[in-house]
Amino acid sequence: MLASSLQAIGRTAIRGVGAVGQGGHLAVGAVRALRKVDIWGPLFVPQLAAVGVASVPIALFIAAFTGIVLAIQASYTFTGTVPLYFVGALVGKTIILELGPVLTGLALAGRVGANIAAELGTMRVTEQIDALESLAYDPVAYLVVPRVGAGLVMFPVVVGMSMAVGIAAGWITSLFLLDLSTPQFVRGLRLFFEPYDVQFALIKAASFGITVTGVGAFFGYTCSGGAAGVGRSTTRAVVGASMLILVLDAFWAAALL
Amino acid sequence: MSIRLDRVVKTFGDLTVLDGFSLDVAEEGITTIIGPSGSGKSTTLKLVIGLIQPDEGEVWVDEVRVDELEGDDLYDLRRKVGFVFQFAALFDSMTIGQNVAMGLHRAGELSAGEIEERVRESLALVDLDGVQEKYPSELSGGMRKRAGVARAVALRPRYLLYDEPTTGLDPITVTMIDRLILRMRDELGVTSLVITHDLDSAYRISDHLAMLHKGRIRWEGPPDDIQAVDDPVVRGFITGEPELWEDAS
Repeated sequence: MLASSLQAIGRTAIRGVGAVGQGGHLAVGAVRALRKVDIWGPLFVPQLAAVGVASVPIALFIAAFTGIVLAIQASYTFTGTVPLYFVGALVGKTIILELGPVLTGLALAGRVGANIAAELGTMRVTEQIDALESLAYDPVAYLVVPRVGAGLVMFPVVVGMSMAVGIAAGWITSLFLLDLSTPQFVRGLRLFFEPYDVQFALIKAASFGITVTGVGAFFGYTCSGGAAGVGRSTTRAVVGASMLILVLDAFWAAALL
Repeated sequence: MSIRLDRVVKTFGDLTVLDGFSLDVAEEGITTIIGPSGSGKSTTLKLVIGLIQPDEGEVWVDEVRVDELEGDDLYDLRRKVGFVFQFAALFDSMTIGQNVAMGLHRAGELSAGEIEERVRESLALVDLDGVQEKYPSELSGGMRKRAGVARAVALRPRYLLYDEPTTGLDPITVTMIDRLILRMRDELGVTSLVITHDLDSAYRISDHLAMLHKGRIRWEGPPDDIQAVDDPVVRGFITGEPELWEDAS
């Protein structure tokens, strides 16, 4: 019993070390492939659309409802104890510092990370990645670099839009449901606002973009085992990216605040 | 000099797939490796274009040692070697025309008009005129294989590697693919290395036949000679007699 448990732990540890090694190898390959602009350059703009533009509706949907709920919950908490214009402060601060980047990141881990893992995984198991290599394409430059680059550029854009929509939703909710005027909401919003908060949120968003696309690309690129393998890779990509987003969230809070 | 594998050893985990495997591929001929599934045939082809590296031994294409190449040198070599994948491995998000043009765009030697013309020529060579705008999912299995051949020959490579080119096809399509492989040799003068376990196809197309068994070449020679071989392993395989094969193995 003890021996089999130790064996299982050992196997898991070896797999983990192997995955870290593979991930490092892929990351180094991606950095080296940056100079192959002739390969990834033409694919970059389509990936900006696939990773960023196509993610806008789900990101804004989440942001809008987060803003509504935050405003209502803040009002519920503050009534009778704290002036209601603090609703604007709570909505603004919470959405900019935390919920805008993190909820958008988690949603896009599902949408973008899963998509990349499934697409690259299918290409791997159907030998399309081998075919790319046989045609003298560096598959990392062709498949990984444009996707991760698009994540780095577009996540801050999408998160920025989410923050704006979330705050706007909180403001509209305050106007129509909480008997708060626009000047009151804006007063609260400006009370604790620091421009640095936006910078902090966009740095987090960029790191989430690299994480979600990079983890998706890693699990897709190293996929094996047919359709079941593609399913496993997709699940691992979403779970892995979501966990890393939360770890990074804590890291940035400790490092930058 | 053509393609040469010299005392190659390749293992995957605990499994030794190639164990001192050596083979010389004759210029402008068709060499076919036969052997049961899982005997290392596909591994051999992937070694030739450097998709995987041997644990021991040497792999040569022309005067270049493939197993020592890295990066752009390896990609340069691959322009000389066309690879026809078992299930075609066409890029399913692209049209057939875009698939065939992929290698040409990468090579960067032809203008857009010349690429278009070369795509048309390559598809005509495999009797697939007029399918440029179709997607792989709109073609039959045999047509996809032929499109895979068109993509491999578009760069006019010196060598063509075929991975199980007739597997899963009906007899008529098998004959068409066999004729296509012969036509690539006769019209383009390419040196071909084919792996298959389709013996009828192997007899029809091969100039030289080699049988792979337990990671090494067990027998090689002209296809007409194989029927006279006494080795029970070879006889068991070509007659399809499991008892003879298993006893001898």
